Amino acid sequence: MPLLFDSGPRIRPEEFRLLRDLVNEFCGIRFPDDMQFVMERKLKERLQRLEIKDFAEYYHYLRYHPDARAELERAVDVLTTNETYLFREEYQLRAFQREVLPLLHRRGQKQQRLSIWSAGCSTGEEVYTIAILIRESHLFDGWDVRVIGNDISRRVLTVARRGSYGPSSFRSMPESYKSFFVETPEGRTVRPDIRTMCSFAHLNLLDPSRYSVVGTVDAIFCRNVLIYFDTASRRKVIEGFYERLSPGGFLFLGHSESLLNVSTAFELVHLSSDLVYQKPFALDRGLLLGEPK
Amino acid sequence: MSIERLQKALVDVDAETRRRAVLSLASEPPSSLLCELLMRALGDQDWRVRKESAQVSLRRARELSLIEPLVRALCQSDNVGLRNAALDVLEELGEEAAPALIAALPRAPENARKFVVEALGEAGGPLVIFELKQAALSSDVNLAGEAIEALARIGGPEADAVIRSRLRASDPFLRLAALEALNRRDAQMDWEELEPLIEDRMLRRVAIAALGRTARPEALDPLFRALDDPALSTVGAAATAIVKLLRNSGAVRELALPRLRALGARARAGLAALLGGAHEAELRRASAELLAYAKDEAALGQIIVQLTLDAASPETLSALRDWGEDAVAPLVALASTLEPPEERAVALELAADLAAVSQTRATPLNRLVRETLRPALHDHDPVVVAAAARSLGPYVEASDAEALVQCALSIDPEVARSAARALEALVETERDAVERAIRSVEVETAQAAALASVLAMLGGPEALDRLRGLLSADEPHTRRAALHALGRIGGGRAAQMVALALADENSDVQVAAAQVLGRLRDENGGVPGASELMLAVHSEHAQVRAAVARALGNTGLSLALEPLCDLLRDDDGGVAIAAIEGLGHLTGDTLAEKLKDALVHPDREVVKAALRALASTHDQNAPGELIAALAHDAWDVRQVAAELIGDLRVSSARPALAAQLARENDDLARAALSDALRSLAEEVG
Repeated sequence: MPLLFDSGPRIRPEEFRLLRDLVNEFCGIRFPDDMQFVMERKLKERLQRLEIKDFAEYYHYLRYHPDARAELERAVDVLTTNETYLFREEYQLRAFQREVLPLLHRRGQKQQRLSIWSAGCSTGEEVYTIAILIRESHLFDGWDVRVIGNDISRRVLTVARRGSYGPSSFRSMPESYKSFFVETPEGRTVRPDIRTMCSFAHLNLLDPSRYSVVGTVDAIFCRNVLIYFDTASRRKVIEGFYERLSPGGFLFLGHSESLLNVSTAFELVHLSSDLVYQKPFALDRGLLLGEPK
Repeated sequence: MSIERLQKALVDVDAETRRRAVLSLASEPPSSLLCELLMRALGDQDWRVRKESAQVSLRRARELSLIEPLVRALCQSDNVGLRNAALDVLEELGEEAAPALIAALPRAPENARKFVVEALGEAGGPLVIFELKQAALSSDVNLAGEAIEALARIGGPEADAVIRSRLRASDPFLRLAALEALNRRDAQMDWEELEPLIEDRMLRRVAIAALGRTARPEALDPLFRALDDPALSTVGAAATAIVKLLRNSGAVRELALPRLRALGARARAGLAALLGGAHEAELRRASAELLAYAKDEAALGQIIVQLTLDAASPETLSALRDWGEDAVAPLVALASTLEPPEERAVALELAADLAAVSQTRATPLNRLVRETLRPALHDHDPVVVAAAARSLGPYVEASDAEALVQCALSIDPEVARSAARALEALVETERDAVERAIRSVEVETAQAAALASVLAMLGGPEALDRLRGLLSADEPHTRRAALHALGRIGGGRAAQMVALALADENSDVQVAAAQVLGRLRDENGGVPGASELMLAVHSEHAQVRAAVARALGNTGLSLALEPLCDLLRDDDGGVAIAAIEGLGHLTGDTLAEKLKDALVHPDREVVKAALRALASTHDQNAPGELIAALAHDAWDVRQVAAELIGDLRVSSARPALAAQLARENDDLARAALSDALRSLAEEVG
């Protein structure tokens, strides 16, 4: 595909709208109108790969071809930026480690089980960051700890499972954490004991009926994912999160995200350095943040 | 839970209990108590309870006659939470709430009137616009400002005219509100109405942004002055405005381009700062475009970065082409220094693209590009190799043949494809060199898919044999490539090989075989694969049936009519569309009858295909069907109908087009309707 994007098939405004709506219906991501040429440029690669002559034919492929669903996944994969890094928005992670993990430790004494879900985990940096913070806290040694990551893109999940990263993934990681990685020919790779805490699933966030594979979780991280979704899709995803969280469970969103106009089901809780959402305990008037009475 | 228990729960000290009680109200039977409870919950002290109540109130507003109580809640000032929640619900109700809001406006307390106006902004309609116009002219600045905002949300020529009239308001805040509203509306502006506002310190930046929509040369002076402004926000407003002017007026563009090329250091520095640091993509795009027109060599690297990140517009590429050969040497330099490889590849491809314009190979510039491209064929990164191979076409020489053949065997599909294109170009001038290079390698392998098209160009019995070898490759992709190559060679022997592939175990290969058979002709113009195609109509794979339908249409044979009519009833929408397209190639004036069901099909893609087929065959019923489709529920069907009416110059459709335009609310459909009316007017003219 030529890198100079003004050659090859052009996307007409109506084709852009039909494709945009199809992608939105599939995964909730909404592309603004000024992304038309970006969509044109990025999808040209798919057209060429499938030997398709124009965007109208590609739309028909996505609607009618037996391989349409897989192709939609590929289209979403090329259209979205999956860029993330270890210890992203560290102040929030600190709050999680210092204030939320001790609470979850107190609450889970009986079952000695901890489940955290990184929703829309992309290449897995957040999943491993969470696992490292849990391990570092030593609160859960000997517990059944699971950190689950999901994404709609199979490609990024392959990278996530590998757990090997280049320099840009480490740009925000404090030096003190380098012992959690080992040098390999592929780059710096997450230590095996951390990797065994983590598992990955191919899940479309817009399909909450499949969330059950994640089980009940104590906290969900969904940071800088919902910003690309339209309101209706956000509501659907948040309802699904609500169902998956145990009572008193926490929801972490990105610093620019909120549940305003999306859901009233969560309580906004002030931590010392961050605001997080918490699923209220059932009608037993349990103290937010703390243990149920 | 009974309504009494819910009533109790609604005064519980626990907010979560109250919220859940509100949720339960959603399924309670209608009663005056239910209305009262909902309105009470709407004023709850906890925002979550209020939001929940707003959702329930919205769903049940009509059934419970909640609009009047909501308007009353909007007009009170004791409970701010209740007022805001009522506003949310009324805004969501939109037009339905308009009569009650209009009735309340004159008697609403002064401090509540702006909220009534705000709610009206989501309603629309002539009555609402009339009321908002009165409010916009009010001496109460807050109310008038709110009315301007509301009118901007409603939009349309009438609302725009009211807003525009407030540009002359004596109060500067109202002028600012009007200008910002017109900017948000992206409304066309007159230079005369903006000129007095440009030097107003409060309005300057907003007025600068609006100048981009004047399409007037007078706007250039203040805009270029603003590029020198020390405030980057003003520079950004000016840059986006200039970019709009370049797009909207050819005459202004002619005047602007020389000024851009002569841009001073201060303006260049401001634009460069935006290009490298602005958070908003629109500002980076505008800066990249202007700096490219300014031929700013220092900014070239950053422009490449933006191109690689998809953050530059297609117009930036036009600007770089406008820069032309002078940019080639700096681009070649960047191609060896930039990291990551994607940026090197863009620089390389752009350099080749700009130098190729000169057409003569012997120029020093072309030699420079060629000397840069050749070693890049051996780069360690495939994205650079692909860019080099792709760009080599105009510069390719016999000595490149071997390297290109090696690239064409790459496991990276983009590298292989790009190298094959370059080899195809080379076959035109250095056939023997390509033949020698291909003979030296083993092509009967899965990796040789890209070479199939080159073999087809070389032709001859040897090529047929080698393509037959490729048809036995493990990879379906390679077999497909071989089929398409055989289609290019043509003839009876090729047809035989292709027909056999209709029985390939891979459905994508079958699709390729059908596509090729639809195009193949023998020496007498006959269709050698027709009988095989007729049999493949019953394939178990929908995509094969669709490909066969299109192929049958391409044959032009009348015996294809019957199977195509059968395929019209296929359960798969994609097959039905392909059958419609196939029939469009075959039948003339009887097509409408065959497509009766397709024209009312629930899948709008099927309807659009039927309309296109009717139009392409000039069926006598086409005008009637196209006019009927102007009122279709789907915007894209209405748009296609309008486009086809314009193309066919269906003069009898003029009243229907005008009527639909008056009520059309989809922008793309509106544009198509306007274009069609214009085409018909030109026809008369």
